[in-house]
Amino acid sequence: MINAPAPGPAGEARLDKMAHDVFSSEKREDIWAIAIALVLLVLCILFPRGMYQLFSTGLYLF
Amino acid sequence: MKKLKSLFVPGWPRYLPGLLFCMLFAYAGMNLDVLMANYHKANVASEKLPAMQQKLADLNAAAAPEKEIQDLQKAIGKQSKALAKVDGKVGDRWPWATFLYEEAQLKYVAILLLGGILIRNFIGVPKALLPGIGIARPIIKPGIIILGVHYVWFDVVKVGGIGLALTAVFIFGTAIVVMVLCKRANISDGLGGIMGAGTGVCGVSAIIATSPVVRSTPIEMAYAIGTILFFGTLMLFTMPYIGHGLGVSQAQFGAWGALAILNTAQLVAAAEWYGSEALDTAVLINVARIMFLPFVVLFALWFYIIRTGMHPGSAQISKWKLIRDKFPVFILGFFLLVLLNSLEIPALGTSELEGSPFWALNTLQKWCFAIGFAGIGLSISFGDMKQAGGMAFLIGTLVSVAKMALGLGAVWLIGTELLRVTGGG
Repeated sequence: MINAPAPGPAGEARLDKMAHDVFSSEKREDIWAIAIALVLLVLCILFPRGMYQLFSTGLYLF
Repeated sequence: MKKLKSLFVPGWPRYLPGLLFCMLFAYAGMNLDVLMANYHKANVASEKLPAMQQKLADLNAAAAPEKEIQDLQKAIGKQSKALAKVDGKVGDRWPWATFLYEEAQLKYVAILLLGGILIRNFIGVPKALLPGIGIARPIIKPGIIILGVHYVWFDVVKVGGIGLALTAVFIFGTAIVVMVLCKRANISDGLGGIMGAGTGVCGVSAIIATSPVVRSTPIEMAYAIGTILFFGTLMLFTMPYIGHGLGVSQAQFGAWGALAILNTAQLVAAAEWYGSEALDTAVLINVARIMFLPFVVLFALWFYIIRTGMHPGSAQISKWKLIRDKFPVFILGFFLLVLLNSLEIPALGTSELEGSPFWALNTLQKWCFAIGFAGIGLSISFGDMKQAGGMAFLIGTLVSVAKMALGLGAVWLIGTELLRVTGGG
């Protein structure tokens, strides 16, 4: 749900802060995405068969 | 050190329960997908095997060539294995599995999205899980980066080039039409601006990015976000069925989805649902699309502020800073993997080369997507969508429907070949 602040200068300031926070978090998300992908790449370089087995069959129950 | 610290959200432990819940839900969804696939394959095998065994007997009796007999034996072995996987025998039937998996296309994407919506709206999600559910959705991004191993530069130039031209026309076409229509309908600049950006480019991100430029009020943002959520969800669940009904090829569907579905996560879900080729095309065109986000914000700045001279000080806004701030950094990771794949480095192999790092990496993207889809499903609340309404909603919806229809026409004219990702193969 969106918590709507009251219109007016206070509301605008909060809107600016919200936009800033969202974009900081988007940048943070992007950096995390690159970091996660790099870690996974390194693991796949080190243990290609192990990673393949784990994610293509090992995690499946059936 | 300070920069490293800023990577962690203050109070990050409160995100863990919801994130773990999404992981568990994704795990259950993926396993349910495999279970249904197993029963569907067994159902097909049970139906096919008697005819295959009869054919084998006929071939043996007719002393057919050895190769033909061996191929048939191999096929029979494969079907018998599918049957054995569910402890079945010839004559057993599981029509429900074929209906759900093949006809209703209830694969892991639909299981997680529909299941998530049902849980969120009919069972309810404890408040403690909500923050973590919110951060599960972006786990789609590492999946998109990993998908880079499917492409070579030839694809980026061929499909990405067409995508860039298509998205430029459709994004700016939609944004301009919505902004002009909203102006004519006397809708405030704040709402018209974010509706134009939201329906033109990538949904909620575009709304948030444009809102400070056009000075939207929080209520206007709620309206626009509600409209985008409503329309995106509608597209996500209807387009794959429309595509199948019209016989749209996978590559064409990927391009069509990238034009019509406003949100990256929803686009990835719809394309993955349609098929792996559709996903490859959709992701590449989406990368072209999201690169336009800063330019749409710049356009809104010009349309509402600079052109009308409403805020003289705004003309001094650094356009370069605006572009840099709004640039989606994660696509650099995607391009890095495309580059590594294009260089054909023997130590990395390819997504097809058994035993190579890229072959292993290729299995991971589905799991990243699954966690993200769990997050999307569990985030869709009917309450949020009720925020949509009014004339701006009508204009946004009409223009989006028009974009969907025109997009279908465009990809139909372009054809499958120019939109297909080869992956260097």
